[in-house]
Amino acid sequence: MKITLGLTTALLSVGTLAKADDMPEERSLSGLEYELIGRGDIYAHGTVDSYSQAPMLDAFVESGALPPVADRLPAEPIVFKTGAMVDGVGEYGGVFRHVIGGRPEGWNWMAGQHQGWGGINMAMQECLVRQGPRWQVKAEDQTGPLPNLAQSWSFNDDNTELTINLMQGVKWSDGDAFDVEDVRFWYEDNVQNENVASRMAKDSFGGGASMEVIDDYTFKFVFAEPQSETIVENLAYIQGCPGPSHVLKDAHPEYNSDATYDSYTQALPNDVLPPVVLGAWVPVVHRPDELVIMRRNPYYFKVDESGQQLPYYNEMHFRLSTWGDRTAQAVAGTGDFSNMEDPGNYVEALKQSQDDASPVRANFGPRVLAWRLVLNMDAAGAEDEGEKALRTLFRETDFRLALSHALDRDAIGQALARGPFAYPYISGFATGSPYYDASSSDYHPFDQAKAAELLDGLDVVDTDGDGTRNMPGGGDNLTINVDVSQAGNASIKQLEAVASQLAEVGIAVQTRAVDQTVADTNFTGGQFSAMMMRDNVILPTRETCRSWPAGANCPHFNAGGDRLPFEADLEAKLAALQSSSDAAEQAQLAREMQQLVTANAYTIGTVQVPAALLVNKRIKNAHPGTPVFMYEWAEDGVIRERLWTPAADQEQEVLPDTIAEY
Amino acid sequence: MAFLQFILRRILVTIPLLIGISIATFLIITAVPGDFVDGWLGRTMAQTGQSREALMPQANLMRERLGLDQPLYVQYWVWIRNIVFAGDFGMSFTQNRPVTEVIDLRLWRTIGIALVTLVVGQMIGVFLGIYAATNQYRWGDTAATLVAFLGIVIPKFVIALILLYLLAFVWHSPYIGALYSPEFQVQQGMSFAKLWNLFLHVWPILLVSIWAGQAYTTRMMRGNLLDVMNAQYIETARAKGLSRRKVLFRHAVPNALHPVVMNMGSRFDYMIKGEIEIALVLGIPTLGPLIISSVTDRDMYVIAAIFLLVAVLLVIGNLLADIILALIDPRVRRATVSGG
Repeated sequence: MKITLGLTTALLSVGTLAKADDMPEERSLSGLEYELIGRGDIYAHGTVDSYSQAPMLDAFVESGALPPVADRLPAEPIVFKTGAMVDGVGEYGGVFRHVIGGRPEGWNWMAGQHQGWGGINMAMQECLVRQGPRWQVKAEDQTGPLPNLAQSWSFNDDNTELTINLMQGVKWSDGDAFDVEDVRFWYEDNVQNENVASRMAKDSFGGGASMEVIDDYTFKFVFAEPQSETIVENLAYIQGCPGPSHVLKDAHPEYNSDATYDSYTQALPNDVLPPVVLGAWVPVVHRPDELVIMRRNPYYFKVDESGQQLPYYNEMHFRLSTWGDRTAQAVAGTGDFSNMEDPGNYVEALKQSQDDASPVRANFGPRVLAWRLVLNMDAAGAEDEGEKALRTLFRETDFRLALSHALDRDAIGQALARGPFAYPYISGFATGSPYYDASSSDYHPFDQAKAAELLDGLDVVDTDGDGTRNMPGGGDNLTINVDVSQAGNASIKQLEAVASQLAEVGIAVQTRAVDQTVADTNFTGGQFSAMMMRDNVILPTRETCRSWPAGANCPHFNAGGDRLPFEADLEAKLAALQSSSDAAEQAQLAREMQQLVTANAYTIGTVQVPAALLVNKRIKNAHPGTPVFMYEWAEDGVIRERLWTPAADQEQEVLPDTIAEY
Repeated sequence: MAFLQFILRRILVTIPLLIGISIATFLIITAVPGDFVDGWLGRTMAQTGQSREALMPQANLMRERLGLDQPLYVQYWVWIRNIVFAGDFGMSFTQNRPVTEVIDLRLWRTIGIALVTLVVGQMIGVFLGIYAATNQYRWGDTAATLVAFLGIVIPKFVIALILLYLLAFVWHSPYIGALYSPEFQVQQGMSFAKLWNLFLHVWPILLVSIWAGQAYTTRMMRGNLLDVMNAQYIETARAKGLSRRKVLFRHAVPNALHPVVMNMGSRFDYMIKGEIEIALVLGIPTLGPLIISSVTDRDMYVIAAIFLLVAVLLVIGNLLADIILALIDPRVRRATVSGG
């Protein structure tokens, strides 16, 4: 096992920590073998000899309604490489059918409105850089997000300026040119305008950052403090996606004295179609509560290597139903795509996948869904003495290790999903994370005798003989109140097993099921004693406050800022990782972070499982192994603009031979 | 006149009831921790990796725009004032449309499905009950009893889940999770093809609702009819030479029907609740799934409006049952009138 400087510090701080165990062998899932590739192997900006378009667009070009395809494309479109397509170059036509539980709030995403989630936002919006397909990039090439509207970027020598070159000749779906003014409007009049509820926080680039326009296709951010490549990730979905300034400026109070910020937010209502977009498809029909139909954007700026303009599908449906219905419809074959994240359904999904008559296949990705019991260690923030004593106990590493040893993770995993799906999760990165390293993870095997020994050592013993241990010094029975979200079937099921296993070592667990909003609010506000939750710790740079000491009030489970002995070290490593632009150095720092959190049982992990992407069998180019979530949700990771269906299997289009008309 | 007064009084009594319901609804919704903006915060934090602190300025802006920063009593007063004086039930935060629009279509679908199941379910229940009673202890009686028994003891959502499993996993039905296929959703107006498409989507919910709805009526009708058939006046009628069929349908059945009709009001309540429960499992776009999503998203004006409307529906259902009973039963009518 690799012992790093960071680990040595941790071991010293823990003191009594015994020699760490290795992680058990991880069983692989069939169909999960795939090659990771270079970042330039998926797509790159460039040219091909000649361009062609979907046959349905020919009539529009002939009638003069559209310019020829070569004139609609930018000078250097994004070219998708055939080598990265599992089923190769596609055929035009057909429908891709989504089912979602959300409803479009409106089309003004610049003012924070969503379009209903589940892939509809992403189908309309294009962002400066792209995160989703990064899951397929090998570790040594993980040097930041992939380019998109931002064709290239560079930092100055002291990392205080980031200069970005935009693609030239990209057009909005109404034919208007996309240029630096769209980016300036996005950043200055939306992100930086405190009256607009933009999706991006004003201080995302650190305080005092400003933007300078250099020419029509070049601009730079000037930062108050040196920044790293990581900051470029802020320019990906859902933050760095400019809207059409030529449409929105007239509705913005900065440019129109009759407008208010309220009227600006509502400037693109969901019943006025089609909105102007950069995405591959344009919403053309919205039947509230029923259906959104999108048609291909004839100005889309991406092609395949044979010069065919993307996307391949002419039409995209979003049936407005429920999130639960999404999986049912995918299995029935009336939806083409669903994220399946409830392990209780895995065995059935696998059976369906292997049945020739079934319309759907389940692509199991890497293990990225991980559950953990989180203990609130903010003793100073406790509301009463009893809670304070409990949180003080949670701050003891031996206590957390005792809980970790008390859990039979194999049994928990089998209760969750029979078969090879579950694998023990200790803490830190999930095994599907590119930052996970087994040899840097300390395993705490199921050993209730050891758990009892550790608890005895903390004077947590059963002084009144009722079968439940008492707080140190013969206090009250040790009872932990654990919150769990009602929506998380898997969390609830695991908590039942955890409660019974902890009871075996004399710790009582009281469970309280709350709804998701309450769980989120309580967790982020530090208003809980313990919580059983799924938290996909995949990247060290996302949702940092949920898992890492990323700032004064982080993590949420130790928000008071009274650091545990190893936390300062962990915080320094996270900061170093975030300011590093060197992939190898980042990987090393992540390994050291993993060592610290697992050796100290920062949280009490239970199990981790893969998620499955349910994809209709007629869909081509849905890469096996596409994670439901890693750098971005699967709708982006699967790269929908290059999905296709052979002509013979295509679904009939509801609005054939139509495009958005402005 | 007195009969009209009776109806008027029943209607007037519902006004304080509805005010009470509106206040209770508002209190319940706001008593739960977290509001719509908290949900927005959670999702945006998850989507962007930004911290709660960084997003608070935007969150505060949203709260101000939606009026969520006002004290509770102000929020309630504005809401109830707009309903009473302008028929405005507020806006749905999630859909950014007036609540009345959001609820409109779904409410009529819920009522439509509930009425169809009520009428068909009661008719089937009555006929099965007559059949069972007239074939007491024969195999037909046993079969009807078994069907009724299963409809009573198996929870509706369990039957719906089994049906959903069959539709999705076994039959791979193309007609689930909506009321129409996409090609008909964009079609304006109604046609036979569209109606047939509707039926293909809606039959599972009707089947489960009707099965569960008829069960109690079958048992009730069977028991009532057997009691009536043993009454002296039935024997007298038979002794006078009336045919068994005439005695059954002219004398026995109308008398055995009274308790069934009296029970109709509560059956409507049962149908509405049942429809909501089954639609939730089957993903049919009626009020059921909307209630759950609104509660989850803290879309408070939608929840409040649904509770109010369902309360009104149930009150109307009970009122109608009373009126029907008064119309078919002279004793009730006389009692109502003489009693003022």
